[in-house]
Amino acid sequence: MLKKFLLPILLLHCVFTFGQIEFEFGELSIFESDFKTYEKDTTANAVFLYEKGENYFEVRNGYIMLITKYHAKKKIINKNGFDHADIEIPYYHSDRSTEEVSKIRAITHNNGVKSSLDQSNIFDEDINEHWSQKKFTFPNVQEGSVLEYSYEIQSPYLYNLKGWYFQDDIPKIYTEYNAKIPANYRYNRSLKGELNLDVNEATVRERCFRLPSRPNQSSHCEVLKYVMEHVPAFKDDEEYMLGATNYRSKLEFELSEKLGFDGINTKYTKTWRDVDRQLRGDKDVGGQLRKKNYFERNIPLDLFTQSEDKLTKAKNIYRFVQSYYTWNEKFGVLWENRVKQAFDERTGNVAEINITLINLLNAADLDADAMLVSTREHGLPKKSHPVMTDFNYLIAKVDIDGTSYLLDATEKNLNFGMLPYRCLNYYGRVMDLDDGSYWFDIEPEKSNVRSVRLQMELDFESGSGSGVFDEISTGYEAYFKRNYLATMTEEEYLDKFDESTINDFYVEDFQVDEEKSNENQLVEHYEFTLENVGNGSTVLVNPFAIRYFKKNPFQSENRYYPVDFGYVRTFQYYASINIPEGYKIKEIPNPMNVGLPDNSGVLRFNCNESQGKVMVQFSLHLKYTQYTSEGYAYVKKFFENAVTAQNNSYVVFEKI
Amino acid sequence: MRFFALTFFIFFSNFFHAQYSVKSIPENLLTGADAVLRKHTMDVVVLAQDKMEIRYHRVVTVLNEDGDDKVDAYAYYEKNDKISTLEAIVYNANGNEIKKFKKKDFLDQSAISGGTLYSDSRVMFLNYTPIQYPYTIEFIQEYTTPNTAFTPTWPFLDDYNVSTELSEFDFRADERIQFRYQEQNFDGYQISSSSTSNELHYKAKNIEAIKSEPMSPSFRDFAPHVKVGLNKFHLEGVDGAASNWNELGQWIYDQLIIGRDKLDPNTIIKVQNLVKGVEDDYEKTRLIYEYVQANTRYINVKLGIGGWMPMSAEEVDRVKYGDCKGLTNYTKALLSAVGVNSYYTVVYGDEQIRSLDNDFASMQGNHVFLNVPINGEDIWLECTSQTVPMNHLGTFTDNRYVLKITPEGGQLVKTRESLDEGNYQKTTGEYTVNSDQSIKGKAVIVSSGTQYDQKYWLKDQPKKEQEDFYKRYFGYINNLTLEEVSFQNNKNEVEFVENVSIKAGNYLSSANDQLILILNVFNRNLRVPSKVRNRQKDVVISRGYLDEDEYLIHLPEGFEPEELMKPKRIDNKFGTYEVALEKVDSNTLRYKRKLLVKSGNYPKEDYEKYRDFRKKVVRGDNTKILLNKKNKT
Repeated sequence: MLKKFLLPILLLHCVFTFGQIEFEFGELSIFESDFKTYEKDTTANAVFLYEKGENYFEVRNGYIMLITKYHAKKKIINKNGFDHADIEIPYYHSDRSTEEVSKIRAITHNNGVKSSLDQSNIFDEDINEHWSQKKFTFPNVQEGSVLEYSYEIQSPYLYNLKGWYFQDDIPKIYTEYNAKIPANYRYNRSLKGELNLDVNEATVRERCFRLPSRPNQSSHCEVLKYVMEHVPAFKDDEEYMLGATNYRSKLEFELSEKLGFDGINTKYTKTWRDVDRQLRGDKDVGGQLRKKNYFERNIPLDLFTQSEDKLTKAKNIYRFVQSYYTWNEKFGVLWENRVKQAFDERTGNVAEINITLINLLNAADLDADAMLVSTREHGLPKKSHPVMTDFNYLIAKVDIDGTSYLLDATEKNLNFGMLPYRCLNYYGRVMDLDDGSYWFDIEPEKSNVRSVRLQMELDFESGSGSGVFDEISTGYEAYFKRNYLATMTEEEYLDKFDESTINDFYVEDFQVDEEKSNENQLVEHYEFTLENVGNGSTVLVNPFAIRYFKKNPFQSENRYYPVDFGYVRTFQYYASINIPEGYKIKEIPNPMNVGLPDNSGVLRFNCNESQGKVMVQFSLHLKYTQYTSEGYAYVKKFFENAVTAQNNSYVVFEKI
Repeated sequence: MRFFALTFFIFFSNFFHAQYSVKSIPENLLTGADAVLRKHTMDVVVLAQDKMEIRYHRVVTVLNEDGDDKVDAYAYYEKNDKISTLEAIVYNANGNEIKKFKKKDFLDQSAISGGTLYSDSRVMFLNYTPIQYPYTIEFIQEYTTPNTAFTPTWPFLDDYNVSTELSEFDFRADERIQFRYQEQNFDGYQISSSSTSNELHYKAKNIEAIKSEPMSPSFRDFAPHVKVGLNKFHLEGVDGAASNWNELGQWIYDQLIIGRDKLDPNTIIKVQNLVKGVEDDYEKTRLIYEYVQANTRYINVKLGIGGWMPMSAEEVDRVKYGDCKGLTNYTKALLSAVGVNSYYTVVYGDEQIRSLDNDFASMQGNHVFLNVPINGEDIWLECTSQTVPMNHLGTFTDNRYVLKITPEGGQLVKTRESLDEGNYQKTTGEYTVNSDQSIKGKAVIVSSGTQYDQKYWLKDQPKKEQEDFYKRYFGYINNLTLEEVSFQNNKNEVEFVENVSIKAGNYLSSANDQLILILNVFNRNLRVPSKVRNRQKDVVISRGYLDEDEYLIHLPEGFEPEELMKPKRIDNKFGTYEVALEKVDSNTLRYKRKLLVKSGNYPKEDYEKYRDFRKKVVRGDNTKILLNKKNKT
């Protein structure tokens, strides 16, 4: 049954393959030269008509080289697409060897007229210590030009076989990737993103690769061909999203094993057990993680002796490392860390700071391990097999009396047990060097609340108002607020605060309530005045002196990937507003009670009159961290309701 | 004796280290400062027309995070510059050294800015993570350059929110070398100076920080600085001589422009055909300008003297791209091929109006555009844009002194000023209020002058960008749906027309039987400049504008206004604001609005008054009326 089903598809592919006739460089197919606009995406400024990449291995000057060949044709649809005429080809180099970019050719096709790139207009630019790039722009670019270019990269770094991006920021009509990989190199491969391959072929070619030094030995090759057609542009300019790399269509390779002709096999990664074994034997990694003696000698002794309680001890150590270091804004995983040097200079990357923390926790006889994670930007690590480049960040995991705490000491205002927002990426791998590594879920703090409790006195004689409010923040909301407050002086904060509120609202006094604030919450106390409230026989007052959302954060009509908030959150606003003497309530806003599907979010708004006051209750509660793209319309509508409730509600007062 | 030497050494080293302790900063230099320039000195020696030695010493105490970028430990250099010394030392708050950077510890990178494909300018810089505040960084740079065309301008104040403890500037030139100098904004500052025919020396101490305020004059208009220029100079292999704008313009013409306008004969024939039968120079210019706009794009490549010399017209013609110099020179060449004279013109292109220094000629400006005199009128062409209409200056080049390069030398001329009433927007619209609290309406918005600048580019934007624009423009309307937009760009009249239809659910609020309607749907101006406690600087409104609005409002069946809004009129030195509402028939209202903001300079005391004016405008634009059900009354 299955076979019967497969056959027609294969046939189709054959037909298709014949349809895509190979063209020489510099020639356009009829389709390409006649192409005008892309109906599937009329917003596109430029489109890849054709793109083909190829990787294979070749012995050059006695060395095995990884060769990349690239050939592309882009249609420039309008002037906004001119940026796509600027081409950058990055290449890597180290002290000993370098990748080489060569055979750059570029032609601009304008209605059959060809303009070639002059080789003297190709520039070579250093980006940083290890990366440079070739750079050029196409000559004679017009609206409607087809830009064709090709180049070759020769690389001595066999692990640089990275795969292929099927999706880019402009649509691709046809994109093809080929690889010819000798059987003695094994690469893990995985397809990311939502899109499917239109061609997925793997065949074996016998005796295709041999070393000149061993002419009698040869290996066969795996010949791969992958094609996607009509790949939509990838847009990632939306609020609240997880790393774009999770959703952009890409084929990923990672070198897993090399079987040498000399009979020596090198495994790069295969199973987590291999990784664990390798790390255990790795002097550098093990050495960095087992420096507890060094730190014992160099830190205040009372850090260990202050308290007998394990949790208190852990918290003291965490706070010490947090305040001791200034983070240099760089990440880092297990390798290339210089913990001692970082400690001496009081600055280091994420890994160095957190390895210090792990060492100190272990020195205090607590059970701490390094946990590898990937930041939200970097994407979710693959669970199927170890891909070390999936990880870009290292945190500490400590177990105390049966509870696990995940720690990152890089951020000054972070509470014990909380991770920075960038780390809220669902799971990571704990590198327990003794008992073996394991996956561990990142569970963000559950109580993240911003709550405003406000009392307001209105005076319609003078058309003014005044009052007080407390703002209580917990969890990540408190953390973000502390960070925000730390970046500016009180005066700047108040100026910004006044600007962010409705007109004629002025904060007269502001204090962080130190007594009520603690590790778990931040309490701010404000006194305010309100001008130009209005007077006359009818006065309209919006009961929201403080508003959480001025605009709906979700403006796009559609969304092609999930909405990800990182942590669950709640916003509350409770107000009590007096009814001025000589006035009565004429109208109050209608109540609102809206939910998200599966009870994953609740929005409530209610006003009522009670004992000479208007009581306002508003709360917005998001119970999931992630909402699928199918549920986007609901989320958008939900926020629309929240914004409407805050901006369009009026209490109408009337003179008696 | 030995004992004595030892104590002296200890004393001296302590003294030395403590010199950058934060405690020793005078109290008045800390107020309003993110950073303090502890010591800022430069020693310039001009040895020859093509050899200048510079010793630069900058010690900055950074008081908080905002001050981090005032460290400014950047060494920009060109290919022929030689940096002999580059080092930095970091001190903690007590003035003790905590880290030292040698030349090799600096990162070396290409100094590429936006829009540049490639540049051979480079920069060496420090990558230091501060570990505590305050901290101090001492930066020392010594280098030699052949490019004496750029003699330094010395600022005694660095920037807003930075104070200066000590600033010294020394300039010496070989006896054979003549130079000019000019002191600016020295009033109110104690700057001591001495000079001889070949030496200058300036010294200033304890200058307090200036706070940045909205709508203030530009920093360089009040900050004290001294400028120096050589009468004979050198630039990337080319010698030059100039002591006034005329001579400088002559040099630019003779060395950088002349002969760069040769064109391929085919191209000449092509453009001559393009204007065949056209006699009028204005019309010819329009055709050529449109040809350039349609066929070229902006790409900057900067190599050596190419940073100042335009790419040849022939080359631009071949690759169809260039930077401002290349494209301007190319347009000039094409115009000359059809018999129209034009002039390459140097300008400071900036939203903030900035003139070339009237009375101090030196290499200035950051942009080049084209001047075409036709029948005694100056026509201006912005050759880097594919969309700007002919002779439209916009906010980038309006109302400032620019240098016209003619074969007879340079000429400083002033570009046109845009008049307040000329920056005009007229919105005519109507909308229907539905009883389900939604509205639906359309408007025609016609913009000219600087208001044209703010919008004309919309036409070529993708749909998504256009939607985003209106979601911002009508940002006060929640749940906005953009129904239809179309545009008309009347380039000849420099007039941009938008046809916009919108709808919005839940636009009105309800309170039981009443509906609350904010009248101004299409043009609410809700910007009030931020509050400034204790304003220091004058208030500048560099460009004014005029908005006029007129909307018909169709009320839902069965509703009528409780009362009509009373007309409002505010008239003061900043401008005029008027709103009025009138009844057209039982179901229709007419809303009229006018806002004129006048350009001008006002004393600092007026800032609050101006804010009050803008607050009143906000209040007026937010005016609500109540709609009652008719049967109720």
